[in-house]
Amino acid sequence: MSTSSSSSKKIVLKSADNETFEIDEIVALESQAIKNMIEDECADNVIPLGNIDSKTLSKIIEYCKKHAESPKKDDNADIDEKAVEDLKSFDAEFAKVDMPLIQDILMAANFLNIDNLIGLMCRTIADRIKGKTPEEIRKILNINKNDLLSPEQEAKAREENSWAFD
Amino acid sequence: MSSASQEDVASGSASSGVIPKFDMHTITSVLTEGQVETIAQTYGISSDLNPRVPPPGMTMNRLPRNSIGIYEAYLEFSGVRVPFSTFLLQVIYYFRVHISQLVPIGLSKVILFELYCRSMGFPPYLSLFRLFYVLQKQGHWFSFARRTGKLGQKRIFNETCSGMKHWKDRFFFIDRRAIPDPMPWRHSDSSMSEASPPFGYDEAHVDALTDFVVNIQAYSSGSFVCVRFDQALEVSEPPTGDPIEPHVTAPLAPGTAIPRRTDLQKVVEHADQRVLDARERKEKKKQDAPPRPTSKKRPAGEASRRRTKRAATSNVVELSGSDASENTRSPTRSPSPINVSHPDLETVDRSLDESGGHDSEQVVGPQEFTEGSNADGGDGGIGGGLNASTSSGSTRQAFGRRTPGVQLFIHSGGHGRSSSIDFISQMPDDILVMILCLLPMKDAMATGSLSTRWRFLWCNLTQLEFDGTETIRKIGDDYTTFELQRDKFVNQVSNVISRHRHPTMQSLKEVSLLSVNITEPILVGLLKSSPCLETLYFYDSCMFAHIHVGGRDINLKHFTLVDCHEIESITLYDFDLVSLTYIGSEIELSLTDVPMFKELDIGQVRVRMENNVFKQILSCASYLQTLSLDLCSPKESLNVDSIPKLPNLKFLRLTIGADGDDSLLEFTSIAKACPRLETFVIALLWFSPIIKRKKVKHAAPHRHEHLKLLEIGGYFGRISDLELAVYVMDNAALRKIIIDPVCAAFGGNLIAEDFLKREQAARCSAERELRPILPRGVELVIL
Repeated sequence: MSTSSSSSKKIVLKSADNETFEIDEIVALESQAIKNMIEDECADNVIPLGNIDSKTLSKIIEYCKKHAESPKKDDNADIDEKAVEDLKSFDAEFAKVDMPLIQDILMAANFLNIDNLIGLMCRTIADRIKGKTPEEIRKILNINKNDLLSPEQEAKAREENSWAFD
Repeated sequence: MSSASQEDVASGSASSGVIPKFDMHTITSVLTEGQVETIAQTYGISSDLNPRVPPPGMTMNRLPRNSIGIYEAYLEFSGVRVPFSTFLLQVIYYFRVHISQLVPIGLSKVILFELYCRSMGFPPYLSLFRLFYVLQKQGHWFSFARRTGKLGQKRIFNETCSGMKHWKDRFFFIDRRAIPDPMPWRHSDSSMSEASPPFGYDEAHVDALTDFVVNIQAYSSGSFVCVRFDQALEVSEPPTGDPIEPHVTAPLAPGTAIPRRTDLQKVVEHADQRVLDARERKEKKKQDAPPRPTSKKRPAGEASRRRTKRAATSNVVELSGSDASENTRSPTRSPSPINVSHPDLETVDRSLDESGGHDSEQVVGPQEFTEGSNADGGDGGIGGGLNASTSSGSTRQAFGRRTPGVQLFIHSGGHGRSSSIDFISQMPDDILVMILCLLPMKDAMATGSLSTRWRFLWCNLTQLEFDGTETIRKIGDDYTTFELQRDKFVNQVSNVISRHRHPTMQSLKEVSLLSVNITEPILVGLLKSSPCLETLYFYDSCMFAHIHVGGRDINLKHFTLVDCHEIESITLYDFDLVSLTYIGSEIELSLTDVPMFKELDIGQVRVRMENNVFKQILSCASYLQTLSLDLCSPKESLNVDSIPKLPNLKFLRLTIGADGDDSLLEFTSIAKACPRLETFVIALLWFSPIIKRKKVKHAAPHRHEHLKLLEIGGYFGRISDLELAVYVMDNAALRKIIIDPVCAAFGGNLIAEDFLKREQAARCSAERELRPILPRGVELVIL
C-alpha cells in the first residue's frame, strides 16, 4: 500500500467536490504537508483534501508543476537567469486572478504548506491594498460588515495609530 | 553569568521531602482507553487533539515527536487545561523545558500564579513570575522552586505540598500541535542558566502578590478545578472596551508544522560540561572525604545537590545506561530525544542530536518567536528615524507564539460561496501578519481600523520603522514648530511601541537610530532588556562622554557609531563582539576580553601616528581579521614600533590623506605586521596632489606571503602612488591590482569637469606606468 504509492511516483489528490488529480510525486512534494505525509508513510493512494475545491486545487497543481520543473536554487548556485526570469513571469501571470480565488489559493497553500505560494499570494494581496484607504481595503478584501469597529473604536484606533495617518 | 545561577534556589524545596527519581524511563502508563476518554471529557480536552493511550511499553522519555504527554495530575491537581494558557506556554518557552517533563506541583505553581495575578487585576507576566521562581531539576523531571535572592523572604504561596504519589504512571498523549511552540526536551544535566530577564516588573505587583501568603493546598483540588480555567479568567477581565485578549493559545491547525527549536533551546537538550565537571569534582572530593549525611546541611550549590540525588539513586545511573542502549536499538525513526542522565554516553548524545534534527525536518518556515520592540530608545530623541527590527529574515518567522485564530477551512467546497463571507479574516494570524509585513509600516498600521479582526494585527509586525525626515522636511526652519513636531513624533513612536503586542524585547535583533539622542540609561536599558540584540547602529546621534558596554549577558555582535557627538571614550569588555565601526572625532578606545572580535573600522578619527590607536587595539590585535584605519593626517611620522603584530589580519584598508607627493611607502610597515594579509586596500584622499618627484624610491623588501589583491583608490598617478604599487608587486605573489582613480574628497576648488579630467589622466598614467611592469599572471583592473 504505502510502499506502492511511493514507488509508482504518482500521487492522487481528491478535492472537496470529489474530483481526483493524479500528479507526479515530485510535484506533490512542493507541499510540505504532503511531503510529511509521504515521509511518515501515511499517504495512501488517494489523499483527500476535503477543504479544497477542484478549481483551487487545479490552480495549485499548475503552480506546483511549474515550480517542481524549475531548477531549485540550492541545487545549483548559478542557475541560469532565464529560468529565474521565466519563473518570475509565471508567478506574475499566475497571480492575475480575482481576489476570492487568491484567498482560496492562499488558504489552501497554507493548509498544504507551500511556502513559495503563500508568499506569492501574500505579496499579491499586499500589492493590491498598498496605499489604499481603509474603506477601499475593506471592499477589496470583502471584510465582513458585521465585524467593523464601532465609530468610537474606530476613532480610538485612528488616534492610537495617528502616526500612520499623518 | 546570568543572575539565575543555580545557587539561588531556595532550600525549602530541597527539604520538602520530594526525593528526585531518575525513573522516567521505567514507568509506563496504566491508564486504559476508557479512563483516557473519561479524563478528556471531564477536563474538556477536544477529541480533535486525539487524547489517547500511549502505545504499550511507551515511557515518557521516549515521547513521540507528534505527541505531548499529559499526566492526569496535570489536570486534576495542577489545574492545567487544554488549550493551554498562553502564560503557561510563555513560562515553558522561557525556561526551555518540555511540558511533559514538569512535575504536577511545578505546573500548579504556574497556574496558581496566573490565577492569583488575574484575581489581583493584572495579567501575569514572565518577568514577575521569574522573580519568584526558578526552574529546578527533580531527577528526570523538572519543577519550579522559589527563588531566593532579591526578594528575600517574600513569597506568594506557602508551599506545604509534600511529594505527590501515584501520578507518574497515569499519563496519556494528545497531539503535539496543541502547543504551537517548539519545546526542547531538557537534559537532566543541562545548564540551568536562564536567558536574561525579559523586561522589568512593577513593584506594586510584587507587593500585591506577597501581601498575603496563600496556602497552595487550599486551592489544589477544591473549587478551582470545578471552574474551567479559561472561562474563569475571562470573567475577571476589566471592561476596557477593547476585545478580550485570549488567555489561552489555540492548537495549531492539523498539518501545520511546529516551529523549529531555536539554538538556544537546543542547548539544554544536552548535558552541560560545567554541570558534569562540577559533579566530577564533587565526586572526587567525596571519595577523598568520608561521606556526609545528606540531610544535615543545605548543600552549597547545584552540583552538590545533584550529587546528593545521585548518591540516593546511584544504581539508577546504570539504568540510564541501559536506557540509552535501548534507544540505539530502536529504529532510526525513533522519535523524541530521551533524557540520558549518564554523563559518559557521548555516542548517545549524538544520536539524540539526530533525532532532534529529525524533528526539525518537518519544519518549514518559522524558527523563532519574534517579539517586537518595546524600545524606549525614542525618548528624548531629536526627531529623526528609529528603526527597530527583530529579524530581517522570512516574514514567516512572525508567527509562533500567539496565534489565537488558527481556525482553518470551515468553508466547504468553494462553489457558489456567498459573497458576504469574509475569508481573509479567517486566515491565521501569521498569514495576515505576513501580508502586513509586506506593506509600508504606515499602511500596515492603518489596517488597525479595518475591522475587529485586524484591530491589533499590526502589533505583530516584526520590523518597526519610523522615519521622521519627511515631517522634518515639511517644517523647514521654523524652530517653534520644529520643537512641537519633534515632541509629537517622539510621542507617536513611543505610543506605537508601547502598543506593540509583544511586551518584551526578547527577540529584538537590530536597532538603528538616526539622529536620536541617546543617554547612558537608554543604552544600558536597551542592552539589558534585549538579550537577542545583535546589531546596534547609531548615526548622527548625540551620545554621552564615556560609553561603557560589557558583561556576558550582552549578546551584541556588531556595534556601529557614525558621526555621533560628545563621545570621549568607548570601553567594550567581556562579551562576544564581532565588529566595531567608529567614525567620528578622536576618542579613547579600549577593548578587552572580546575573543570573537574580528573587524575594526576606525575612521575620520584624524588618527595621528602618535595617537595611540595601535595601543588601543593591542588587546584584540591577535584576533583581528579585518582592519580599516583612516589616517587623515599622515604628516606625523609613523612610529613603526607602535604597530602591533596582527597575526590573523587578512584585510587591511588604510585611508590616507594624500598631500603633495609624500611617499606612501612607510605605510607598508603596517602591512608588514600582518603575515597573513590577503587584501591590501589603500584609499587616498587628495588634499593637494602634485607630481613633483621623478625618482621612484624603494622600501626594504619584505615578503608578503599571502597578499593576493592590492587596491589603490584615489590613484592620482603620482610617483608615490606608483612606488607603492611597485613595492607590492615586487614583494607579493599578487593575483590582481585594482586601480580606482575616483576620489571622494578634497579637491580644493575643482569643479566636476576637472575631476573627470584628472581621473582620466590618472587612468592613462596607470596604464602607461603600470601595465609595462606588470608581473606575469597579475591582472590589472583600472576602474
